[in-house]
Amino acid sequence: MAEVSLKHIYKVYPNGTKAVSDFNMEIADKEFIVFVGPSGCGKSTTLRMIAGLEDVSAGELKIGGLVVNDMEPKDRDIAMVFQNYALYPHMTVYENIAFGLRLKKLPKDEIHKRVTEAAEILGITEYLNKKPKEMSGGQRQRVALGRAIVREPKVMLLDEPLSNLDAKLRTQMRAEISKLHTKLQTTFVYVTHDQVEAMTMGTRIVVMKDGFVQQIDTPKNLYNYPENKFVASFIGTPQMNFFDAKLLKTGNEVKILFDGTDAEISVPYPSLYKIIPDYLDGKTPVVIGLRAEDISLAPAAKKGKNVIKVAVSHKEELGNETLVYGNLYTTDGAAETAPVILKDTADIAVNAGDIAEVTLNLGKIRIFDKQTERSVLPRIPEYNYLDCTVKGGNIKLLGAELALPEALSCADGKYTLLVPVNAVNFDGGIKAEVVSREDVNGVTLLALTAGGKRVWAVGGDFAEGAEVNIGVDFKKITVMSDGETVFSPMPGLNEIDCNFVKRKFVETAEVNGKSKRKKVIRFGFETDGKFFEVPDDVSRKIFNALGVKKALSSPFKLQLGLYGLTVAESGIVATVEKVLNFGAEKFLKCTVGGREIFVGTDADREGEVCLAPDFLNAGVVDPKRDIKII
Amino acid sequence: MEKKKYKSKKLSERISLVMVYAFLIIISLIWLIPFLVLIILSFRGEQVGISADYLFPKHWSFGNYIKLFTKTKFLRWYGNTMLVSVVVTIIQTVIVLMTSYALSRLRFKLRKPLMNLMLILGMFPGFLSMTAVYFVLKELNLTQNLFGLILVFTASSAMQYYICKGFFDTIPKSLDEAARIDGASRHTVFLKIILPLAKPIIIYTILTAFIAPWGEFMFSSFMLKGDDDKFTVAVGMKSWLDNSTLMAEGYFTVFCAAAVVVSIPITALFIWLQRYYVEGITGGSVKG
Amino acid sequence: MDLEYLKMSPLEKFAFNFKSFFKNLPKKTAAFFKAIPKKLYKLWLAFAGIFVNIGAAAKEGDWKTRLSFGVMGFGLIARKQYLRGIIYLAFEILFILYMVFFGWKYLVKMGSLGEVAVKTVVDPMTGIEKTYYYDNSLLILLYSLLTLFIMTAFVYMWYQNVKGNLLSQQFVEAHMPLPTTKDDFRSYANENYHKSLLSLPLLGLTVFTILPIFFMIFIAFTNYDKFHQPPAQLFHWSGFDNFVTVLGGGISSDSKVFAYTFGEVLLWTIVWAVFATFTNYILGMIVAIMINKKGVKCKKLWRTVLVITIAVPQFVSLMFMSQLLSDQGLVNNLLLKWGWINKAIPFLTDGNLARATIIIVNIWIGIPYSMLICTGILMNIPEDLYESARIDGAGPVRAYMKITLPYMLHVTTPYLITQFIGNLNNFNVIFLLTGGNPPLEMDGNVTTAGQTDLLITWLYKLTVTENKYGLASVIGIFTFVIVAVLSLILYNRSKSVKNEEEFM
Repeated sequence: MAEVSLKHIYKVYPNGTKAVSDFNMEIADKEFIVFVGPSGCGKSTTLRMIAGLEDVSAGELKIGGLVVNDMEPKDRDIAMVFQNYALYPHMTVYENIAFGLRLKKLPKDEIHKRVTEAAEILGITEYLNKKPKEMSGGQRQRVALGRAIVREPKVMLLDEPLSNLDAKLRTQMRAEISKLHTKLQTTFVYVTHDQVEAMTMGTRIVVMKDGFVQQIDTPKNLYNYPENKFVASFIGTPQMNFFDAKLLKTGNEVKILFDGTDAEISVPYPSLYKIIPDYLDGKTPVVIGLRAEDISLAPAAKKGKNVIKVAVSHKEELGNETLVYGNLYTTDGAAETAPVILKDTADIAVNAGDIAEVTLNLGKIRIFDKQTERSVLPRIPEYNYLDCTVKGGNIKLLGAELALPEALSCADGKYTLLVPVNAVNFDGGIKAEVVSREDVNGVTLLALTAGGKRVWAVGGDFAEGAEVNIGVDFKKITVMSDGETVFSPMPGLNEIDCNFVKRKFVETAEVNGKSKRKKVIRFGFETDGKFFEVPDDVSRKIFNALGVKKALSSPFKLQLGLYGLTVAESGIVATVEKVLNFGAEKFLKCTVGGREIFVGTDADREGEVCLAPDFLNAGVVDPKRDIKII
Repeated sequence: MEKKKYKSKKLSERISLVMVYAFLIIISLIWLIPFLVLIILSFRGEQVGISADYLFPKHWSFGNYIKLFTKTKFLRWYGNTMLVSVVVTIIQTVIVLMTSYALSRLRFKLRKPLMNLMLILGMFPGFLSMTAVYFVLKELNLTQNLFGLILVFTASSAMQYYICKGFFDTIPKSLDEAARIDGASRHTVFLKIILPLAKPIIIYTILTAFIAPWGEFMFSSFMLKGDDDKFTVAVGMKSWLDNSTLMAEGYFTVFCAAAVVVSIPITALFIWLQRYYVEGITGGSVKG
Repeated sequence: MDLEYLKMSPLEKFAFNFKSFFKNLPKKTAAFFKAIPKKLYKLWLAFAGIFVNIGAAAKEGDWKTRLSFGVMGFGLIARKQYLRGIIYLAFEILFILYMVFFGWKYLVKMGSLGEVAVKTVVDPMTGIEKTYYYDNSLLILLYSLLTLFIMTAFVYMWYQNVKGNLLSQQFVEAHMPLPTTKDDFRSYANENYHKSLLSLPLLGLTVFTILPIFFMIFIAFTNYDKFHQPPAQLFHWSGFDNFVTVLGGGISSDSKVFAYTFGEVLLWTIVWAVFATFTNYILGMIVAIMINKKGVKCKKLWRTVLVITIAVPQFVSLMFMSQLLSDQGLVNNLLLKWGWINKAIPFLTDGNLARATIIIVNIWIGIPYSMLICTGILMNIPEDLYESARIDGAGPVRAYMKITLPYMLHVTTPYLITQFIGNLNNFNVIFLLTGGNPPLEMDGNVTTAGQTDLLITWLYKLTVTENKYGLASVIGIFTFVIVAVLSLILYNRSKSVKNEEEFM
């Protein structure tokens, strides 16, 4: 089967620029994946790494379950279609298609069969005897496709194959490539800078920018739930409208205050339940995003209420609909205001120069942080923001009273808890009711009410209206009081600085009943001058990533999850600082090499402990290039 | 009014065209007359030194040509030069193509330094190294020997990579990549993709390599000094001009005949392959 | 580039660039010198790295690796990398044989360049004089240099051997698969293909270009001349004497003459190169434009007429021209006969006239080449550039100045530079036309050069006729430095060379 797996893929050029940073993706068999983004975003580089035309600087690339990092392109069972077709000009179409098969030394009959078959599929049988330069762009592109499909590859890679064609041909070829995908039943990876191509062809789309993946999702989700402002603006034509604004919560309503205008639009709070409460203070700047079809001219009945004003500059009548272009009308007379594009029906009475009142479809509103440009209205909220009172070692939360774990002990008073959605479990003592459920990329998000409050949870499978008992995993929560953090949870990742070293040991082994002394060489990490061995596959990965010579003199950062370390007889030596008791679980706060780490334990311990790392789930980072190797 | 202006424009264009034709005719004459003179002189029957004060021969005859092939060692020199030319052409073309491909298509650590080194070496007056080369060859018993001359001509061929590499650079890299995905090794890419596409530059290289030994004088005269059985045509013909007794005997016209004989095959080759020569040199020496 | 700059007229732009060049000169020079310590440090690091690696191999190596210090390639053979190991071992054996049987005896004499050249011995039995040749300074210098080259290669190979052995040991220890002999063979058609392609060309280059260049540089420091000619005589190291002579610092009046000659020849060489390059280029371009003009018919015929002159071997046309234009040549004879002149025009025998003649003949020879190149490029200039210029109201001359010339200059800079270098060293044209004549004189002293001699032809004379090998080498070194500096400046100024490609 031909799934493609990219784990922590990096491309770093010798001068230090990172073309691709930490690319992670699992491509399933028969998927049609589109990489899209502006030029220089690393999409082509990623594709070329999959093809084997560029070396992978770090990370693990698998095709069909095999690690192919060091494999020659021809052995990867892939085929590629290039932007400029890359047909061999001195060969006929037939020879072009047969070239790869001839190099594979297939029998002549077989080659002929495959070539004619491919030609038939693509409708180029009559051109088989022609040279590429006698053909049109579209025909050449078909030949390039033919050359790819005769190889019967596991994965087809297409690098902007349509960008040299004219608009009409492009639309036609788009459909044909989609059809080809259905017919061939192989995995397609397609690179384009054209978001229309991406939206129309991909089963999933990877949006990239500056070497970073912005979002991986289905076309529909990308359009409806962009994770940041870049994705929102990149996907969809005409471009999404953006307005600088602030949000203010009053009662059960949230007011949207558009900067520079006196326009105020109120939204019922429940529709913004998922928003991070910090943004509702009327001061934090946000960016409101709305697509053109979600803005329309206000009907006469609604004039004056919940509208914003737009100074119309021109309009485009497309027959069935009209696009109206303008700028946000501001009262403070600012010269440059946000441009507005709106889509309405064909027969609207608005002209250039008018100040039009428009209504917004607030159900489709997207909100982004002004600085980070990330969506502050994520599909799965990060935290539940819950108020609570602590009194005498007990905590009053969501209408229930629970025992506060020792580790969290804090003075009596009122606090705000930040409870991650995945810290809400279903075996506690708080009564709640499932209000709605939503499937977000395979994860079920439950909206619950408990004690009159909205609580988000994942991982439970309950029907709407069901009564459930929920609890809180206290080790994951943050406790705040008046904006100050009183208690922060343990970091999810333990990091240990260490060096990769070689050690020689003398071992005695039983050979034919005699004990023999034997020198053996072991590789491992050294931290604080203490050595601990690593399994062969880990050392091999490190050697692969840095080369045998360089690996042995380089520092690394070992990353382990919260449960990645266990107290054991031997291993990493750490000093215990403190025991954290969460009731159900106990953790040790230790130091190793000047860094704090947390280790689960079943008993209180003191002084030095030995910790065995779980290398199966460990990560290794090369701190010099800031690249994750494993 | 409108019409008149149009006409006058046409007229001025016509005038300029006439001027261009006149210019071209004059240029052509300037370029051709010396060669016509050369040919005419080669048919001069009477024996006069170079001091003759007339152009057209008093007796037209093939005497000079007959003398050239029967009385002089010209035929031998011609054979020598042809042998050297052919061997040099083969070796040099192969070396230049290999070097250019490596420098254009392969990426290795010392690529840039190597290119710079060859650039700098090319600036060293080649003649200076002659003495050393001469003694190396003498030790190998290769002086006054055509094989030695071939060795000298071809040994440093790599330095002529420049134009050929420029041409290779214009062949899209995606062709190599497509071929590599099709399963070709670098070697196969070179043989099956790049070489067939490099026809103009191969012909250009062959032409320049082939012509060089015919016109090269400095190295040849140094290497072959003293043994006129081993001369190339350039060295041999120069030896006539330097010999005043021979010149007094009317060898000037024999020289002209020899010049005509030397020129004919090369000229024919050149006119035949002109197109590739132009394509090769413009494709290779030029960066857009 | 800001708007102010764009507003300037071409002359102002030139002045601005000129000024800013000199304004930035101190800064650039400073930056250059500032970069030196950094470069030196880098070099030092690289150098130190070699010893670190060797040290690491000695410390961490197992017995196989350590044995490879003496027996090259041993560790590789022991770890089944036979091909590599055997190559190293064979290289070592050949090197030892070479040194023992050949290299060593020359190397020890390098300091003195030989002590006894010839001994004449009377055979006591027969009474016949017999001459025995002993030391040949030339061969001693040549072979000791060769030996030094080979020793350098050996040290490099030895170092690679040590590194390679340690690496293969580390591979084995890390349980990583070692490349097998088969992999090695395959890699020579793939990732190591450059080695397969370049080894032969570079070997030829080393033996026939680099080694001789070093040899000549060493000759410049000896007194090798007419009176010290092996095998009958020895020559010896003479330090910087030859350099002093060429620069006019010598005691003898000879030295003054020599320095004068050098200056004159150098000046003419540069003047010649500039004229020869640009006249050919500009005129060739004009001819090409004429031929390519819209409406001109028989384009191919015109081109072929000119191309014929390329095809006729240069030496033929040059020798023929030298005969036609000589004082008793056909041209003079005809002109005298027709009574147009009453004294032969000294086309090739009067200094200044000869120089002009040479440049004109060179135009005659060179234009077809530049015409061909320009034709190719002219056809590549997009037609719409001219159309838009015509719409903007530009006439043919303006269109030429604003479009054709800049485009051509931009595209052909590399060609121009190679032409310029080629002309600096243009032996054929001078040697075959005038042979460097007429002779150059200084206050009645005859010099070794002629008035039309270039550095390269002068060099030829100095070696072949005057046998002043040492001095010739000095001239050669100077020529090299001048050519290298000039062309490096030109190369760095041209952007098209810099952006060889964008390698992503």
